[in-house]
Amino acid sequence: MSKVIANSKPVAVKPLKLSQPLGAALAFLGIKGAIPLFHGSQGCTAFAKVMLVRHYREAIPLATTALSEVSTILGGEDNIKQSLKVLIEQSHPTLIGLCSTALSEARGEDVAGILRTCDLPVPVIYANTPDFYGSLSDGYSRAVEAIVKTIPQAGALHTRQVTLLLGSDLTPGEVADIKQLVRDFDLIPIAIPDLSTSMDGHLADSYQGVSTGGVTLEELQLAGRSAFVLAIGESMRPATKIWQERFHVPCNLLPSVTGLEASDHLIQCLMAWSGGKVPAQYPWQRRQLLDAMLDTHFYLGGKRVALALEPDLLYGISQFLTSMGAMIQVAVSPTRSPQLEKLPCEQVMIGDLHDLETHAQGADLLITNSRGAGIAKTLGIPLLRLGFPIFDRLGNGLRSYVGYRGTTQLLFDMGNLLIEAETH
Amino acid sequence: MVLPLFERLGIQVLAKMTGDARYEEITYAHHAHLNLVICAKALLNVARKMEERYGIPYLECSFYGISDMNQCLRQIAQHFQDPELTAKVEALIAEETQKLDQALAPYRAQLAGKKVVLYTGGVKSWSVISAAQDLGIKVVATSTKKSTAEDKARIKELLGADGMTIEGGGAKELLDVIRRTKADMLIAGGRNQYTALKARIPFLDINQERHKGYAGYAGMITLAQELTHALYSPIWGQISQPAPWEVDDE
Repeated sequence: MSKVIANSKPVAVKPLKLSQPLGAALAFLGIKGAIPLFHGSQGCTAFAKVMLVRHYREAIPLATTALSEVSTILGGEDNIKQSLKVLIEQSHPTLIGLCSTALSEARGEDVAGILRTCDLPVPVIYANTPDFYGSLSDGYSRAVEAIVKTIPQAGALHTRQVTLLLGSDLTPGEVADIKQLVRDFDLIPIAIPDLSTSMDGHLADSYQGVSTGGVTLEELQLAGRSAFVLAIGESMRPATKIWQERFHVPCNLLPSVTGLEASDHLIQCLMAWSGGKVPAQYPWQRRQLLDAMLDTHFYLGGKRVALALEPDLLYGISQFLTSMGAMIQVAVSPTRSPQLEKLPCEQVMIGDLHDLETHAQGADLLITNSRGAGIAKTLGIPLLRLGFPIFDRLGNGLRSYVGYRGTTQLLFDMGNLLIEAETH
Repeated sequence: MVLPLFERLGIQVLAKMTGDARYEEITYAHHAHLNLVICAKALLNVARKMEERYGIPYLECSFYGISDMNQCLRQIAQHFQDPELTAKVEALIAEETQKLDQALAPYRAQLAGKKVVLYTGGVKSWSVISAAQDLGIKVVATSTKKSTAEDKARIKELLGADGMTIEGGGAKELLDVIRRTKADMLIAGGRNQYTALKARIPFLDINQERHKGYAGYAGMITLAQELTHALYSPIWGQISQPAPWEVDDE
């Protein structure tokens, strides 16, 4: 149990917080043929786009309603209608994810009302995501909630189909691993959203201007007939609740799938649903993980770790670290979450990377995004890059730290950093 | 870790063989007034030869453990017959012991009564016993594989009547001894590390290839920390948990 302490600084130094619309855009990018559209100024959109481009090293389709000072005051209805029309004509999207921004939210624009007056050939999903609240994971969750509220359709249950509601901290590689695991149990996964085939980094045949992969609109509609729902990350709880109210099927929410115990829970859940045997590779992968735990516990035991991550990831990684005998020296989250109170440390700060820096002195390992590189250098502490954005490392799309195999990889990556620090 | 202690006592360390030595150091090593042979059988010949050729007396001692470290410093003071040095040594021992007692208290609480098997070669088989005992750990067995008759006598004295000695070698015998003595942990050289780990037994590396120093007073804290982390690592509980499919089969 930990105490959550809010930052009382009047200014964010070395910001950790990311914007809600950026998170929502990421969720929409997990739908095939979709394009996110920001209702705001061009700058809002350009900034989010640059972050996504640098992290994934991909061309990111992201459009803007380009509010000017005049339309901001007088209302952006025309901008929305005009943008939707042009987008549909030029990019032929299967779905448009409309996200509000601080600018339109401060005006109080009734976007949902405006959309009701439009007759459009493609579905437009609206996520209410003002920048001034929350962070990336909040915006991402709002988008997933908007999707599950509207698109999936009820129907005769498909007994072997599983809907996956996947939190924002899961990388495309991790989504791929989770889907494969589900398939290995003879179940059919539909991931919402599915970054594994959209943001994984693959060379498409031509430039498309919309998301080149992800879950299709048809699959999204069909998802309502899943017999089971597996949600990963506490941030997926509101979406899971919506699902339960709409479709009344068994839903299981796992806060994390990193670590031995968390991976065991995942397997247990799939065993119960599939009624079948565990595919042979998983017992073997579990043995490999046990061995990796033995080999790395010398390096992690008693080590002090300083982390700054979005809530779900912060929770999962902290739990895992404590299970290996490490201690959480400081934990910083950019946004609130009920999960933070369950962190295995005395206190959690809602703050920025400056808070991390001031409390990380004497730590053995730093875990945060690429913005922590400077802090790591100043303090002389090794940095494990995790979260978003990571712009100074390759392969962010395919990296996986989930399940037995992914946890083993995480242990090795952490252990190697600590071995290097020890021998210096 | 130990050099600053000598500095505080006003003792000049001329040369260190073979740890961290420079060629230049060794060329003037014969100007020393006293040689210390630290936990080493192999270098006794060097000490004897230096005594023969240059008339430098030598002392055998160990830096592992509080009592051995104290004893070593007292031996030096006694050798030089210098009351001022004796006073300095006693002051240093008093200060360091008090500091250590405070620093080690939380670890001693966790380590008291734990049983370990020691599996090393030669001198270390007794020098580490003393360090372990200083922490309240009971050494239930130790190897005498590469020990001399002199070492063995010392081991017997330290271990008491219940202590087991392991003459032979091999992973199987080692694991058998751990099982019979119901030891909580194995302290051994790196090459036995995986023998212990595969048998799910906590392990501490005492070989010279390790990166952490356990010598002197400060080293005792490191040793206590490492022992506590290894013994109390939460992984021991986890690796003995049944896998999800094993639970189902029952």
